[in-house]
Amino acid sequence: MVKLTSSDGQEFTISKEVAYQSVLLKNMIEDVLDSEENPIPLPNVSGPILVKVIEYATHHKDDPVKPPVEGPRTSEIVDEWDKEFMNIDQGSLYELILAANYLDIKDLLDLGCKTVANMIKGKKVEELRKLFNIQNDFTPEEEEQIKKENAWCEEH
Amino acid sequence: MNRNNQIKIVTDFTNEALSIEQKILNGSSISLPSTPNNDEEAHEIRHTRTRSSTDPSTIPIDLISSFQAHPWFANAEKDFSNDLIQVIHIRYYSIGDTIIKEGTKAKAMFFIIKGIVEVTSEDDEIVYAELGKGCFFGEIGVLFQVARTTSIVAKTKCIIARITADEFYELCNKHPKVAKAIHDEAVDRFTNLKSQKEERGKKFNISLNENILSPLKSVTSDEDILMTSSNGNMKRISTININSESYNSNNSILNDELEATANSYNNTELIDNISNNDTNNDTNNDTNDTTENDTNYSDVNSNTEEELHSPKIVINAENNISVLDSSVKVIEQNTPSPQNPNLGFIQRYSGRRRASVAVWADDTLSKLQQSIQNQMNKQEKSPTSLSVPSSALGTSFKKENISIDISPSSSAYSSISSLTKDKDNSSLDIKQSIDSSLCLSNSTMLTNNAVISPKKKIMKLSEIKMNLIENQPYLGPLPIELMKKCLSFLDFKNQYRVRRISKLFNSVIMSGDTSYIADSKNKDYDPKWKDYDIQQPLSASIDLSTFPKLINDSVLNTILSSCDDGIIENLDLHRCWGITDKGCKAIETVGSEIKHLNLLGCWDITDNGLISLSSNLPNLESIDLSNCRKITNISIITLLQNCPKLSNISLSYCKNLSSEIFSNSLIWRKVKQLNLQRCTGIFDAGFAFWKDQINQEKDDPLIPDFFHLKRLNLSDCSFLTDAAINSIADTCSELEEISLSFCCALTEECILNLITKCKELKILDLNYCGLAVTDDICNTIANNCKNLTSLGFRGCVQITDEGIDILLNNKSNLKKINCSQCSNISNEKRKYIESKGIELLNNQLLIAF
Repeated sequence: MVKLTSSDGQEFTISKEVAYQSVLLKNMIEDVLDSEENPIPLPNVSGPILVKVIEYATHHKDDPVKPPVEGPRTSEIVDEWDKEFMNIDQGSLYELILAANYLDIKDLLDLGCKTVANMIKGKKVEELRKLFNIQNDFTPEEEEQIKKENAWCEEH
Repeated sequence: MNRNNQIKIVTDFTNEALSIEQKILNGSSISLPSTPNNDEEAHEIRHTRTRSSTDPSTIPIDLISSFQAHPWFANAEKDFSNDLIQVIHIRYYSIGDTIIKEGTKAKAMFFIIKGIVEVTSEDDEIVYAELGKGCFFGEIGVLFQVARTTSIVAKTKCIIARITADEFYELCNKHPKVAKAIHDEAVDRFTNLKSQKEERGKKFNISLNENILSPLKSVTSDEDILMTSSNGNMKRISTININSESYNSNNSILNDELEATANSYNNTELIDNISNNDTNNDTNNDTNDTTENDTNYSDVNSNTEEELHSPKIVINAENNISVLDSSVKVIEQNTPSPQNPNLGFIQRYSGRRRASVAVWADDTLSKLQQSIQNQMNKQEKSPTSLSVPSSALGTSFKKENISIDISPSSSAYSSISSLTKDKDNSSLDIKQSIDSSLCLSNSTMLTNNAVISPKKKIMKLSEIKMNLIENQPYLGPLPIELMKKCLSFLDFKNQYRVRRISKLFNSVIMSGDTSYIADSKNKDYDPKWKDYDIQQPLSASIDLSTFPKLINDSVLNTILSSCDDGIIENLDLHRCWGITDKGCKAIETVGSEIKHLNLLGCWDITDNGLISLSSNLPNLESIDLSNCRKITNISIITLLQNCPKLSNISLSYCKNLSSEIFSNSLIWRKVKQLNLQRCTGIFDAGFAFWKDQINQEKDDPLIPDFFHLKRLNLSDCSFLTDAAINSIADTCSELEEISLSFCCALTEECILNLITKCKELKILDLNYCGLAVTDDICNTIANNCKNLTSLGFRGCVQITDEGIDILLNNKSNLKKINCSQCSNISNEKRKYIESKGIELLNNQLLIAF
């Protein structure tokens, strides 16, 4: 078993199998012999997010090694459980992505990024600026030019 | 419309060919509101059926010459065009009309006189190909008596000559040469389509009826053709029942609909011509009559079959000039190639994890890391080794830089090779020296790495990452690298849309330039940007193939000109049919870093475009020109001379290439992967160049004495004989994978030679090489080919259970065998193969090129 401490001081005990989904934890556990006694501090992951991460890692702990995906990269999420799992508010989504990145859980990171990608799809530029809280910094001339260039790919 | 009704109508139309004749005799007309996709409002189109064109004298000369110019009929007997014209029925389709519906029974084939049609999937979602003037379609279903394999939808207004199945069979019976030509093209397209569908992950259930296929395959003389067709095809024809029952009984139409028909009829340019034309009163009267007589009508959902659309006569001694373009020459026949376009495009998506340890900077964590490191140092026997990597790494990097600086001279090696031998020698020296220096630096790298223990390496890496994180600015709610990763899951169309959000998004996607924001005068200035570099904007890999309909020369130009040159590494334009030489020009301006270029199916590209393009592709490693049918030897030769790193070329279905493409074999020696599927213009003589030139230079130690070819696809090159394979066996000692499927002329002898000489052979695809695959081959394979893992024997009838026993007797490394359709291999033996842990293949491709 492995002990983890979240940024807000909560302690979690998980099996090695689950922990090994994270490359970061795997490396730490393999490098440090007494990880079972000393909890590993995860100062960048809050308790609620760590709960989500553990839920994900537990669900996928028995997954076979996936062959590399062929064909064009797509944001489609195939697994229904994953889809449901990602049904969370935006703030948590970004935190989860950061945590997955930090803990180096590739599949969870991909899942999070795909979810963001799917949020982008089908939204108008103004909606996207609002979504990401971003100021339009193009001059009106630049904006006009880029709009013209983008005519081919805007939804009709 | 309910289902019963539909079925009933189909039945009514089953023997439409004869019904037409009846209609003709009656001089009657029918109007068929056409409603593709069940969308009754949007696509309502009416067709008027009039008399068929049975009198050759009324057939326009242009149409005749158009048929005669068609490659299928080029060698046809003299009276063929007359016979053909006797049986064709001219039809008129509007935009969006479904001419053929996938899965329905095939009753006719079609020849495009004017207009463009799209070959689509059943749901209209995927367009496999476009066919234009001079193309045939619908022949697969007719020839092989299978259900329609795709749907065909009119993209523009179309005038199409229709030939019913039975009339076509009769025609074939009379003209065996034509039958053979059409058959070959049909097999071609069928295989093509099949692999396209499989590539898209759709199971393709229809398989060709081998009984029909095989006899025609081996046909050699006209007599043979006649024999086979009368024994094979013609028998089948007789099974098509002819039922002359008329079908007008249950159709009804409203008067106003009929008027609308008349109006649309008159509005049509063609028809104007017909009615204004006084020289052919017969036709005029007929058409006028038919539009006014409201005797028969039908209200049919056009989803049912092609028969639902009725013909309009456009045949007229003079009006044909406006009906058919003045030059009714056959333009081309386009069939998309099945080849896998995505090789090399997959890799870049792996391991981009620059930001993945991005949060090490935290203090607590650093402490933890420190404590771990201390523990490790205690355990480590030689803690000093930690200092080695950084310096060693530094030196080896330097060395590599040097070799990279020199390496462009290796381009001289290949590009000059065609000129003089002297130059070859000198450049070869350089090349060799580069090679050795590269080896040197590589080996130093290796040794140095070996000194570092894996654990040390992890720590070392994390230290490096630490700096990166602190400096990483945010883009929206996420650190820029993570936002970039999110965007990387979007297709390029959506990425291109996102660039409108802000300058930074634009930079991340297009140019990677952040200099403007690193300027402290900028109001959004953040010191983090100062040291941050978007190393590779997303446009490094552009895939436009997922929305080919949106892409044309001007769109491509817009997209590419918003990237700077030197950014794009992968450019995928496969099946972007709208691309022409102008598009090539646009690629040329951003070509300097392109490594992989996919132009599969961009069939309007010519030599001019490609030659010009090749002048700015110094880093090109792979190119797919499959089905670019206009290109000839000269552009490929220039490409190889201009692109020193080019080692992977796909030229399948480029039928304008000839044997002389290999006349300077030197430029081909660096090529590692070559796809020549159905390059029917390349014969034995081409490969003879390889062997002859190797032999001539045998004594010259400065010229590489073999080809580096590792993967070769010659499937469907059915004109190749043993001589070609022997040439390959003698020159390509590194060959690992070869597909010879459907090279039916090959015999056992050349295969024995090949497998004896090419010791590295891993995959050998001999599907349908019936003469070549024998039990003897199995013996040699078992004894000689220890590296062989995959074998294709599909459709080879000479091989027996005994051969399989021999094959598996020795300790072989075989993992996959395709022995489907081998009639002399028993099911027990197949089970035996599987029990040995070997995968039995059926339709799957053995080698994905």
